[in-house]
Amino acid sequence: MRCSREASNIQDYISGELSEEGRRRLENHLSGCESCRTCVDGMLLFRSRIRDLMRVSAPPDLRDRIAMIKTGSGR
Amino acid sequence: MTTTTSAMQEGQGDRFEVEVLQYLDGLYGYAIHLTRNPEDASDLVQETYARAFKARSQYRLGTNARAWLFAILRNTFLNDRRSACRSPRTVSCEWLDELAGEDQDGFESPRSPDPQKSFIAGLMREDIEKALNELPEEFRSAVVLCDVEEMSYSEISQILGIPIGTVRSRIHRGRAILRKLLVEWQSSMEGSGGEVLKGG
Repeated sequence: MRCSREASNIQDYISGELSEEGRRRLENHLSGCESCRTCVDGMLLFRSRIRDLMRVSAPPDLRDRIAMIKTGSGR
Repeated sequence: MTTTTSAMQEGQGDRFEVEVLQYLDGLYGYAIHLTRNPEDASDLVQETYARAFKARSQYRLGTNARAWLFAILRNTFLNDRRSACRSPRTVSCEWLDELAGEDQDGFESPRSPDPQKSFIAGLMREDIEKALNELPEEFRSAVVLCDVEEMSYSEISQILGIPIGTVRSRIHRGRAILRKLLVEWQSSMEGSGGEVLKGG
């Protein structure tokens, strides 16, 4: 069972938004709590999977359309 | 003197273009999430750049171009949607609370990390897209900007025009809903996957 008081801190840790002190405190907790560590590992993996799957490149024709705006030759 | 000023302006113009064009892929990705359609997404990004180039004098070089551009894109999208539909979709808080559950539910750890690893590895783009599309725009934007575009809460706050505390809450709840939906769908397809993502 994960430690419920860490839920919010774990979310912010995943987002890279914990303060240095908060991060140090949580990492210290993680070193002794397998349940929370498993939770963090899963969330990091989930986030990385979402990022890998959802990142896209703009289509080449869109780049051309933007270039036309830049040069003022149309939209 | 005039030549020097003109050259400086030209140099600044080049810098402006370099600075704003580096975010094209990210803007297009976010536009896909908003419009759910590649053609509309391209149009939205094009309109965003048209507005950004027009407003370039309002932009100060070296400040956060990314947040500025994403905010233009989202505002353009919302304004277009408001024009097209007089009654925007309202968010049901009860529905969200029920779906997100207690935050703690989403973090209960499985006995072994392996099922969650294989579950996550097996997720397809279509799964995530479908789950994201179930989220109201406010939550979808917060999660996409944080977890796909890797923006800070502060940048997201600027783009969405809401306090950082609200950004934080939307990301936490949005992630919980995503996990829940994906696990539920997998469970309904396989009849046994309900345990796998409780820790993820």
